[in-house]
Amino acid sequence: MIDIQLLGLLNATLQAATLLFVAALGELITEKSGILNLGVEGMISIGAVAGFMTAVNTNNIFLAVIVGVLSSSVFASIHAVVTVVLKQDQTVSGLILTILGLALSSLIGKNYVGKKLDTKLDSFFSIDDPSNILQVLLSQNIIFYVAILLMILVSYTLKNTMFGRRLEAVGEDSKAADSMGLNVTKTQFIATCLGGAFAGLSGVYLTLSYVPYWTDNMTAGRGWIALALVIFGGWKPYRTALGALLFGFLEALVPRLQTYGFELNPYIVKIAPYIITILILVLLTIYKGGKTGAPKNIGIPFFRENR
Amino acid sequence: MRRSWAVGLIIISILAMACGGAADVDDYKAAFVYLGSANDGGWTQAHDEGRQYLVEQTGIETAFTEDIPPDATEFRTVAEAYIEQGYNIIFGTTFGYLDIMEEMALEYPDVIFLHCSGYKSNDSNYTNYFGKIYEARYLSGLAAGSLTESNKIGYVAAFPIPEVIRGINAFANGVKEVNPNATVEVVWTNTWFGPEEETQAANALLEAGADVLTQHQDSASTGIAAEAAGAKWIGYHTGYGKDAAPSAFVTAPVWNWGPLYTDMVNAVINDEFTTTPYWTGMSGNVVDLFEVSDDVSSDVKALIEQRKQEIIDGTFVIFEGSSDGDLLGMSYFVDNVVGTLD
Repeated sequence: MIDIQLLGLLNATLQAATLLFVAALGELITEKSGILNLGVEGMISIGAVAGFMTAVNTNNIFLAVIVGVLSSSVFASIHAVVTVVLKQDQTVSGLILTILGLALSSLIGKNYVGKKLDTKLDSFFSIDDPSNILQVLLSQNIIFYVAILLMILVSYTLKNTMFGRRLEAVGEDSKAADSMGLNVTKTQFIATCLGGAFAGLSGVYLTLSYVPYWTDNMTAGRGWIALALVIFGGWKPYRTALGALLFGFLEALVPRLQTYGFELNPYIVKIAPYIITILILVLLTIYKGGKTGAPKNIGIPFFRENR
Repeated sequence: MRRSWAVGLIIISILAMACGGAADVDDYKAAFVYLGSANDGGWTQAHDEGRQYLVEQTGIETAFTEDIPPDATEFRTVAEAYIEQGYNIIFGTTFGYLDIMEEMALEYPDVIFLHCSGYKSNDSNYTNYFGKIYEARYLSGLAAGSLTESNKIGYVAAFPIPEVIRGINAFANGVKEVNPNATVEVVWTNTWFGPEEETQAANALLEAGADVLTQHQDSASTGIAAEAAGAKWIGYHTGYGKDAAPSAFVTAPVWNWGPLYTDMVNAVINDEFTTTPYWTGMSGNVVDLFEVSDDVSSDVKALIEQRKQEIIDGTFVIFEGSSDGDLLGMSYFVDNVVGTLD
């Protein structure tokens, strides 16, 4: 039998990774279309609070997930309107989305702080005390399996479908894509809202399963790690998942090492995702001439008149 | 004739105003600057309940601003706006306002600045106040020690600083009194508020075999984790955790700022204010233990009541032979605590 604390470490790694991965996967889709959305933190918060409020009021967990996902998606459409339709600065709009999302979620969630959630998002199999790795894997929350499905689906879509190629074309060279008759605005708009929907799913995972209650600033910086994760993963779903496992592992490791009497400096662990990401960028610059995998048009607004 | 009557009336009314004015609550307005939101169910909510109590007791006009980070510029903006509106007592309820409050106290000598959890004061209009929450933690340790079956109690703790260490040691001393075999295991999160870090730490302690958890943290994550694992939980700040984790919740060391706020404001109104720091505990009714659940046996409940009375009377001392200075700089663990300290 494997040590219960090691199983706990695995379990905690998967939980932390799921939250990061789902949000990062959404951002990956958005960025593939050439739109940078720095509002992930705000979008997760909106999904988290909307899902939580719905669950408390209706006790309908399915509805709560839908409301959480849709709210973040609608919220992300603000970014889409500002950057895709009005062609304004993506960095500024994204940062506003983060600040607005955090403030707005605090405001609407004010009366839900400390409320008890009666129905939580379940796992497929309810295993109370997992005693081996398989049981830990099977006892994960539904969103964990959804995340795996989404990973496969997104990877397939990007490589093998019309929508994926359209996304890639728009993100790599929007002018050429436009000349070929692709609707750049529509593609980017959809990609941005999809990114929001994924962030919303990450948010409902947070408040309906991982840390099942609501309080201000629940996300506490996870949105930024998700952004770093996209770069770490080189805009590839599978590599992003690996990164999520790595960053999730670090998060789960710190408290558990302490129960064995070791102390890893927590500040080093907190900055690790960013340090690792910067290192990867440096290494790619040295060995691959800067081919990070970033879409070429990222952050550049598309003006048809500039053709 | 008529004119001299009028003059007399005016003189009398001026005299009356001058006499009455010295002890008139209407001459004062108190503004509170909060770190978090007033219904956070924790630290800031406890302060806001104190403010409401102050209003009920004294009738003073108050105002508050929420979510002001420990940042000099942000604090100054808010505090100056209040001072312009005639507020002359400013409460700052987080450690990080320490220096800016000292600075502003110099600039505004007619305004009283009261700072929670700091250590600075001047000799006219700036001082600090805090509560001896560790006294309530000792009592909660009695409950925890009696409840553990695995003899492992988990403590999710924020930062290894004297305030937190003092609480851990007081709690562990309480545990030891009822259960000498139990240990208190500490995991540091290095954040006052971090729902996920707190959850991870709580789960790590549960996996390590703890069946009772407590915390020095600002969110209820530890309680939610205990609830999910069927363990028991001792909260912190307020009793609101009772709603968030009803079957895990046992009790909580809680803040009770109202009486202290009333005393401080009355001192200002009656011109008796001094800048001697306020550091009091259960005897000053600033901290207390939330109503203990029926998980705890009536014997232990009686012991808690007894110790509480003895602490109030000063006949029971939690840290034998330690001065206030020792307590304020505490940097060691008592022998039934397991954890890392730099």
